Amino acid sequence: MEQMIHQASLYGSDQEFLEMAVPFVRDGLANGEPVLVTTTSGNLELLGEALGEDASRVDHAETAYYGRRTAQRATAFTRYWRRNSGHRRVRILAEPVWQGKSARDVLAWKRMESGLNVLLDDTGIWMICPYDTRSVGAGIAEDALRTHPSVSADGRTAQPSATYADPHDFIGRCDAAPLAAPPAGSVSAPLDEINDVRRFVAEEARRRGLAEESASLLAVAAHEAARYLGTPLTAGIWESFGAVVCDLRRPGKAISDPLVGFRPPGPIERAEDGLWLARQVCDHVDVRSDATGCTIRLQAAGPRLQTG
Amino acid sequence: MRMAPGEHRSVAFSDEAELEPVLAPFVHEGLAGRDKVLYVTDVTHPAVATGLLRGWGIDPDAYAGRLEVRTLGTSDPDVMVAQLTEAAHRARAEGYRALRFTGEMSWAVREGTDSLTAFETKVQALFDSGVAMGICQYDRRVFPPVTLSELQRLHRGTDVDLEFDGALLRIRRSVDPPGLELDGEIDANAVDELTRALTSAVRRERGDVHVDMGRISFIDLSGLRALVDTATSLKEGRSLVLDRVPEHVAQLVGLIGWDKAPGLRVRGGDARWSR
Repeated sequence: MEQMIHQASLYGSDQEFLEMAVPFVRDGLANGEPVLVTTTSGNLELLGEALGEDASRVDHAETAYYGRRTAQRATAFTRYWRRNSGHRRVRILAEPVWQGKSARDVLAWKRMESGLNVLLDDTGIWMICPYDTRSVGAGIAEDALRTHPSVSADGRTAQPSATYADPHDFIGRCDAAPLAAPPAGSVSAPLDEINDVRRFVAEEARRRGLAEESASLLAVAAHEAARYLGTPLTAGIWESFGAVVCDLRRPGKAISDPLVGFRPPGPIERAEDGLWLARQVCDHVDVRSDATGCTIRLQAAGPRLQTG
Repeated sequence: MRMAPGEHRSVAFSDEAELEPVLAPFVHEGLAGRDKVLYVTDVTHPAVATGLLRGWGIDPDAYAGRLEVRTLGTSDPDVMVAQLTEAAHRARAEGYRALRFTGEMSWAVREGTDSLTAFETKVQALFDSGVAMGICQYDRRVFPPVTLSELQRLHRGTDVDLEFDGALLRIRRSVDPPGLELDGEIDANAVDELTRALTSAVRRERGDVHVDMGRISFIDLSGLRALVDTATSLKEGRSLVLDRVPEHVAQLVGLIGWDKAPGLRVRGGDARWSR
């Protein structure tokens, strides 16, 4: 198996994009390597035309739907690798959506870009992440150089990134701001038993208007998070715009792995599997440890979510 | 339900309403027949138990001397069984066929499992002598699940299809379709019992093993894993079929990718199995 490679590619025009993407994809196909392209519909179209007949051998996904949240995205990459486990090298061209994202989401996706260096370290994935400098802000482009060990302009060769940051340091900075205090309308309860945790959360979620299915999923997420934290703990729940938020706080506990719950379950059961499930089910999962304990904050979509 | 002298059953309940379908016919039957009835309470005030009986259409006043409700005066299994023995023999001497006994077992939570086992074993010996029969009442809210499942072995006559009766989960054998019916909540605490029941169902049946999930209100990742592990361990050609799977559970199984696990079939909530 080859070493994992994770490169950024900053481009300012369609031509620059193609100058990197076409050789990257063509070389992979020539080597018999699985190739996945997940980018904007505009770039998929560009690349498809440039590749001609070769395009039919490329795995593809419109990027907005390939892992809607960061934990789902990281899982999709891991699964693509596992599905192609017979290969020493798997190529992925992965361009996230940056435009229109909230500051919080931008931070979460930068955090994931950095985390991929750790999460995919034991795979033979060669991943190039294109950044469109016409649309992404300067901050996002600069951080791309902090979250990718090297930069490639031609899809073949690379220069090390001078500002690359150790993922734990980078993620530590992403997580530096404390979680906002729960608002006035929140309710909380000290709970000794794990079955009370899931009941409390399901009940409060239903009371806030979540449909049975969504309330049940949030209860599963809370249960799994509580299983990871241990009991007794204090559970709190409240609504904010578009969301139902649930805090679980366990005094005296600390979680040191910032990427816990990003790796999908395998055949052997691991303690973090439950947190992985919580991250799949929730829109946001924040984990913060301090001197007195650990908080896991789960956020699910609120009751007025429309799905068409 | 028809019970004969010598029988020894139990009822596990989470609220008093669940006692009625078991205890009301038990008492009615005795009074309509030739038995005497003794209802022994522990934490419940006798007046409350009397009220329950009235609610079930049984007027204790109309059966004075034949239906007695009283509070347990002791926590010593020997003394209790001695009192029951005496009551049973008195009933026989008065010309009744047998003593019908039902009692709250919550005292055993204070006294411990050893006392409980001693009581159940000794009272069984009394019942075996043919002068009495009884139903022990176990409040799920106060008994640990382990104790309840232990007790199942002492009350085998009760419900032969019941494989496990815990505080949060009930596992029952089903014949058509062959397999198990699950009722309640499944988390890590119940996984051992679930695995045991699944393993024995796999051994018992020849073809597919069905698991009715229609009354499962909660299942966590460890419970799902127990189901998947059982499915993937099945030989080629056999499947573990999950019937009436709640919507959110099907969604979880899909997220984890276990809907594609070999040997597992997941069926939705609405369609009951075809017979």
